[in-house]
Amino acid sequence: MVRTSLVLLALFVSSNAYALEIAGDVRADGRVFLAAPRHLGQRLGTAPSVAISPIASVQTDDLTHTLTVQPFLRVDAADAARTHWDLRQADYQFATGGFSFGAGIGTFTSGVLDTHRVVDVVNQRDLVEDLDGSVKLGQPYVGIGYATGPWAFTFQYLPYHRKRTFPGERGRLRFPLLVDDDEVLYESKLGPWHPSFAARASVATGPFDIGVSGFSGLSREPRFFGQIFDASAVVPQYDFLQQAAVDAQWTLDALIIKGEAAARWWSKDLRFFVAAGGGAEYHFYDLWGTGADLAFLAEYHFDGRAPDAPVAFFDNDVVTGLRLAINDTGDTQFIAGVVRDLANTATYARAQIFRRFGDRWRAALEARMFLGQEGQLESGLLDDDYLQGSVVYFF
Amino acid sequence: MKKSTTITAVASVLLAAPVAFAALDRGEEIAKKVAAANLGYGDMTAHLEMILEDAEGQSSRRVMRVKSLERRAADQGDLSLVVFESPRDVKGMALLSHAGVLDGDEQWLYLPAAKRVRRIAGGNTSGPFVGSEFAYEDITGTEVGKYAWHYVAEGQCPGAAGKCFQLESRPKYDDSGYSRRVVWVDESAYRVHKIDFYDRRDALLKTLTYKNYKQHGKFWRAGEWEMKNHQSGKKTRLVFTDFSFGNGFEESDFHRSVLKRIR
Repeated sequence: MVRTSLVLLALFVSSNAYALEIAGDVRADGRVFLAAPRHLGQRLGTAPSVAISPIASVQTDDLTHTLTVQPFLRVDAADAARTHWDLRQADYQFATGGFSFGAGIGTFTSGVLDTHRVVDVVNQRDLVEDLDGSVKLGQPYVGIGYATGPWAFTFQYLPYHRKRTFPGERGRLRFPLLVDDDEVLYESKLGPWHPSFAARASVATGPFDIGVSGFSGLSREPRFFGQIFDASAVVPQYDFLQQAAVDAQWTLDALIIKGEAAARWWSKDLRFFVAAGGGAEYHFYDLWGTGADLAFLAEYHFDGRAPDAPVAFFDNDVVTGLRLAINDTGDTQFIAGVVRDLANTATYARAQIFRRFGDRWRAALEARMFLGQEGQLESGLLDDDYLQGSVVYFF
Repeated sequence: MKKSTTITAVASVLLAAPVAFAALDRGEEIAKKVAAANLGYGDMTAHLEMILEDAEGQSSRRVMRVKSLERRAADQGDLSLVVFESPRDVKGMALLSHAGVLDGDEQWLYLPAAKRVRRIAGGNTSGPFVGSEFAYEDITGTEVGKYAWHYVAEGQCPGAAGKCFQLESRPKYDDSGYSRRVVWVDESAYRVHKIDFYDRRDALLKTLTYKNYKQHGKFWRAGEWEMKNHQSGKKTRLVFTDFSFGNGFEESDFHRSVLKRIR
């Protein structure tokens, strides 16, 4: 494998038609929490935070060879655990005809739903970066792919497991018990070096996009164990996970219908459960002749796991949302959504508006709210409603 | 999503001859010759700058790279890929379009921030793009048989030397924003020079002017398209540079799996 990579790299270097690109963004965020902290040790959390994420790439003009490096760094004044860095991507990719090969660190996304994707299990989530799990940590991988006609196939070997990031003691947006991620437990004797494998086949035919995927290895979702000497902290454990999944999207003109489902065998005991979700998106194009687009979204998520399995937030939840794109020169967009747990009525609401200024700046305002009753899994966040303003510069 | 519509439109603009035709009289014959003049282009790339200007003269810019591959099968349209360079917040955003003739287009959008490929819907017919004065149908609604053609007159080409045919085309499809379009085609090379768009109340809505025609091999391409909206005073200019034909593209260069490698 190493020899192959070296040969390919040599080809890369000897190929003279290539381009170096440097892009990325630097951002400043300011958060204001609307209530005093709930948990012992938490700071108010109203503080600025800055992040930078450059991406540098060298690519031959025929796209055969691509080298990419994309680091990420955040410095947060309120929570030391949120001050963190990562390599989102640092890999070499080779492609010719329909064949592709990649090795290094990468970020991969699959699945069709917008708020939660049971299919999307390759990368660990960067939870301190965003509570909703939309941001991922770079995953070490070696992968091959083949694409032909409507088909695409990928197979990945994932040699190392990344542990999830969690807010620290002073941080907001956490649960009462601290997660001690210096003391991570693994079900495997090999610890984080237990290899995982992911495979995916997809087909696009007419209005249908269908994918079938499998995963075998260590779960990216932890469960938590109490500690003997420190009652205020828990230790995450990553168990074995085998998963077979399917996702499908039916793209009509204004209406898009989506669904995905996973059969999971969790831990070495292979305890079986099903997690699934379905949804629809409806677009009103050129609203009242103004050129604006309005889209409505509804999704339902179900997860049938046992109570001692890793915590699932999307276990019986309905999501409703809308997105309004004004289609002005600044691409102003307004996005709002509500996630509601049908069993315990815990509710998470979010609204966001952003627009571009000039060619390189963007400003965003965001509000998040947590509603519900005491004594529930989600109630640790009840006092964490916040507003955030951001300014982003794209270079 | 509207942004993607724009991109597709722009891509399709490059793929197809400015107008493709079908119909009844001498207008139809001329229309078919315009379409035929672009057959066999093979593949191409170009650099495109889109300049949006409002009535007060304030402008904003989008820069993109476009590439396309001709497909010859009767039931297949061309393949196209548009990659945004600027504004910088959408740099690397890429739209892949597999145009259909009978079945509509298949489109995928790559969002570099999320590193995610999404299948998207094509969008609507008469709506505008991202503040631009081009409607979806101005570019994609040009397949054979979508219009009824009618020969009007012969005369001096508008804004160019030589003689032009003047044709009228009425959309045969539903949901068009137009009652008719008036098209000027030159007699020497069957290039479209100007199109007037009339709204559904038959008032002049927009004028599209093709400028700076240059020949690339046997194919003519306009270096600049200017769409002026007479009712709003807004203007959109598309400036094409660095045309390149015969790049040896294959269908595998336009597979959705390549989107992740776009830089």
